[in-house]
Amino acid sequence: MILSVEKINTFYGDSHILFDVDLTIAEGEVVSLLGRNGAGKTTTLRSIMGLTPPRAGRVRWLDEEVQRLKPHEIARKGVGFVPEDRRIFSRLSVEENLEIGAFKLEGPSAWTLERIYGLFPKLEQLKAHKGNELSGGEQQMLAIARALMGAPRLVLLDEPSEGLAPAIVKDVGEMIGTLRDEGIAVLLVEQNTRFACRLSDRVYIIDNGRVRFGGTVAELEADEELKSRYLAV
Amino acid sequence: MELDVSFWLTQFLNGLANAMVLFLIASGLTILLGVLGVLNLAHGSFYMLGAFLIFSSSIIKNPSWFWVGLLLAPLVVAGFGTIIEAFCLRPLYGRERLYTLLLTYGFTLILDDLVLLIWGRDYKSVPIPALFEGRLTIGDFSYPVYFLFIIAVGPLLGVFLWFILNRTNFGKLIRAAATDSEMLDALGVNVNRVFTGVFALGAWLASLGGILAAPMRSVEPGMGVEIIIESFIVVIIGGMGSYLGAFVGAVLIGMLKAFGIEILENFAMIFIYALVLPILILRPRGLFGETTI
Ligand SMILES: Nc1ncnc2c1ncn2[C@@H]1O[C@H](COP(=O)(O)OP(=O)(O)OP(=O)(O)O)[C@@H](O)[C@H]1O
Ligand SMILES: [Mg+2]
Repeated sequence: MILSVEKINTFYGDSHILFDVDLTIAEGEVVSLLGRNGAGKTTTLRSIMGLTPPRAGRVRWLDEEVQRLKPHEIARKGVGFVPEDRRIFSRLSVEENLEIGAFKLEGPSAWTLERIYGLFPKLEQLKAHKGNELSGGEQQMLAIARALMGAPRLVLLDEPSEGLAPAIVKDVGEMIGTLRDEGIAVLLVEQNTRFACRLSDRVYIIDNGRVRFGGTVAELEADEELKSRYLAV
Repeated sequence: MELDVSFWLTQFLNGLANAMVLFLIASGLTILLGVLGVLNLAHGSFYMLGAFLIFSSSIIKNPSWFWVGLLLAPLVVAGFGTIIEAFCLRPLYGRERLYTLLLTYGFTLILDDLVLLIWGRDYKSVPIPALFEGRLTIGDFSYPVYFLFIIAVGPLLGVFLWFILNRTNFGKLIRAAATDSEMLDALGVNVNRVFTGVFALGAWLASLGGILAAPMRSVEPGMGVEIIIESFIVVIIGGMGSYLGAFVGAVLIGMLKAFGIEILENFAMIFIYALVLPILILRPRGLFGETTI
């Protein structure tokens, strides 16, 4: 496993949000985490990333426990983070946003600006534009590309399809396909079940801070009751 | 009526010279506010330390005293700022703003006393460096060369700052941290180092201001408090986080003081508040708020 989350319990102040959450991701695997609004999906990603460290439980990166590490240390292990609201640096240009993504790397990287621009020509056209001049879809593309610039082995993607037009959602799906082809593992948080299932090897369902299901896409598809109980289908 | 051109020109240049010193203090203050969200009251103390260090340097009877001091003193103060930030301020980030305010206020008191202890209470004056002694005379008009030097240094440092912020990696990180330091952290950047760097840069600029101002002002404990108030007004006018705003704000305040004193002696501050109020009403974020850095 590249990442295993073992019985983590996470709090915001006094409110207990995650209860013994377990999940694993193998090298190169695309895993989805589904659940309704407020189920605890973002909190799970924040816990992994060290942004809201779990009070109990373990997060293991390969064979190492990382739940006590700072976000930048976890990122440097090889975790890319694409947050819910994209969080593009609004006053930096597109190119500067990409450069910031590569800042943590010490040596040369397989992910150069040229390679990113080759994959996403749109970003090259926009490279001199400021972050706050981009559309939602462009921001999403930049957020994923920025994570790629850090040469990640795992990318945490928080609702990349949210608020995007169907045609753009398709583009985002293709980007996730690119990550998979590059052998990068993905933990995909989604409310768009169909979109997530099409891209994933395995699926987890979280509800009220507890993991209710973990299995293959086929198993989930077969279980109508599960879907109607925990997912807004 | 014969308008006394050389008199007004002198006032104008005086205003500019004061503005440039103010800019050095305010630019650090405003970047610090933009990036860390911290109002560093001890910023004026760095200015004071710069002035006292150049005083000590002036005692060394070597013609190069000014240049050695100009080079070394800001580095010493920046190092000192680094220590303050890393060991005292850092534990307070994420807590209520009031704590950092109190802490930096505490430092102004401590540093004032420390300066008293080391340099004593008596009035200190710093000579004008040999290279800039004398006056520049054109026809009827004559003006101290040293003030012209300061007027030239201000914009140079402004360009230097622009270069750092817009053309270096450190600047990129500063601007990114100003918008979203948590995201920067999640991208693998040790944000604390960026914060320390910003603090050190601010201390460096402020002490440079103190050094440049020392030959034209009296050097005394407490000189930091006066400048911090004016600098804060500059920051409010220019917009928090905007060094361009700091430049424009400093020039406005410098001019208002230079000419205000002529119109209403002792009440020049009235003009400053008369300027701040409408700006705050019309542009609550300041003239350049939310545009630069
Ligand atoms: N900063 C916070 N402070 C306190 N409670 C929070 C905070 N952020 C989230 N919560 C609460 O934690 C719970 C889980 O939130 P979380 O953001 O993880 O949900 P989510 O599954 O990502 O939802 P969405 O699909 O709406 O993004 C919710 O009940 C939410 O109200
Ligand atoms: Mg969420």
